[in-house]
Amino acid sequence: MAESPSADQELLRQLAKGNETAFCSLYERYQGPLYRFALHMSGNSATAEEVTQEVFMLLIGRPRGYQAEKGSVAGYLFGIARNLTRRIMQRSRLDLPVDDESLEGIGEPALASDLDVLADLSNAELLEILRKAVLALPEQYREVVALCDLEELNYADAAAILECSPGTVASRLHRARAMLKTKLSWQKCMK
Amino acid sequence: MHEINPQREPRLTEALRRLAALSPQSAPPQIAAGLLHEFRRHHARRRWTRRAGMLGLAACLALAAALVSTRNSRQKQPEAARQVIPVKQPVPAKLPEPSAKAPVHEAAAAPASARIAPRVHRPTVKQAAGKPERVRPSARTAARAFLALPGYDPGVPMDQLNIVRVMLPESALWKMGAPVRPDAGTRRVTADFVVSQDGTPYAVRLVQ
Repeated sequence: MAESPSADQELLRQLAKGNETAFCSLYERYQGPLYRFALHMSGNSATAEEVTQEVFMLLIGRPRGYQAEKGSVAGYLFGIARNLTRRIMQRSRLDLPVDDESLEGIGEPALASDLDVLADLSNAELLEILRKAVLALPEQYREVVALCDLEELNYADAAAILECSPGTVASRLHRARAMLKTKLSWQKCMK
Repeated sequence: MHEINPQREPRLTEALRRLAALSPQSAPPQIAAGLLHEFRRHHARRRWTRRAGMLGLAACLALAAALVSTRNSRQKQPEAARQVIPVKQPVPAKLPEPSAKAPVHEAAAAPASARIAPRVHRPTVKQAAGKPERVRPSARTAARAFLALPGYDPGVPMDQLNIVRVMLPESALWKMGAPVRPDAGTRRVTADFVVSQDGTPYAVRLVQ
């Protein structure tokens, strides 16, 4: 994501002409972030592989589908990945929506932050709980966690990908973290 | 709007980072190989399609050019024939009265004195073969006009006429109604005949 947009656009132009090197460069640049994004969104490596493959297949088949005036190449690719992930998850019913009851208890983030539920997170078991908690987040919150926390994008880049304002990204991330803390505390209590 | 400060929620941030680090970092290599294969296949097909399209376009252009050129030559040919054949030119009065229609094959079957030289291409034979000997008149011969023979039928369309070059005795020419002296001998001359589809000579032009 740190690559300059013009470099990406030039690679895409070359790719459209059949330049194999350009394709390989673009693939090397984006396959990791796209794969991880799809993996964090779906929690399924097969889905992540399918999404990664489909994004680049689309790029091969329709390299001129990208419009520079609408945003960066990265945003375009993540947008495709996002839609594909959503479609595949709907198809395979892997989406794990959070039930309303678990969200009702979430109030101000301060309430959750008071809980020192992550004290022993070095434990692999708790990492697994965290992974499940991320997957259990509603889609719009899971997206911001995947992009900002797991992929470490800044708000502006995430906002471009999610087609919303950076402020919306910030507020969603804030709320997502509160949900995560609540879930983790609940999981810890259960244990 | 302010970005989340990792110092404020250090444990959660750390946990998420660790979760990200423990996740697979990239797609399996076979996906890259499959995509590269697909990329090559797609562009090979695209290049082939483009070449085929260009070849098709070139073929269409060539066909169109050929059609235009054929049409032009067809338009020019009747005009040339019309210019060369003096349709209304009267037959010389001194000619004997030949039959109303004197086909070339009759002339070919003339008496021994009117023997056609072995090299002569009979118009009727050429007609039967379907390949009439088309003669491109030289500038000199083209300057001489054809003389209509008694069998000339102005109703026959110009595109059904052919010009054939034959070598035959002058006496045979006389029998066909050509403007040569009646006492012409067996001297062979070269002449161009305008013949119809059935071989009937309509006009003649002496070449030599």
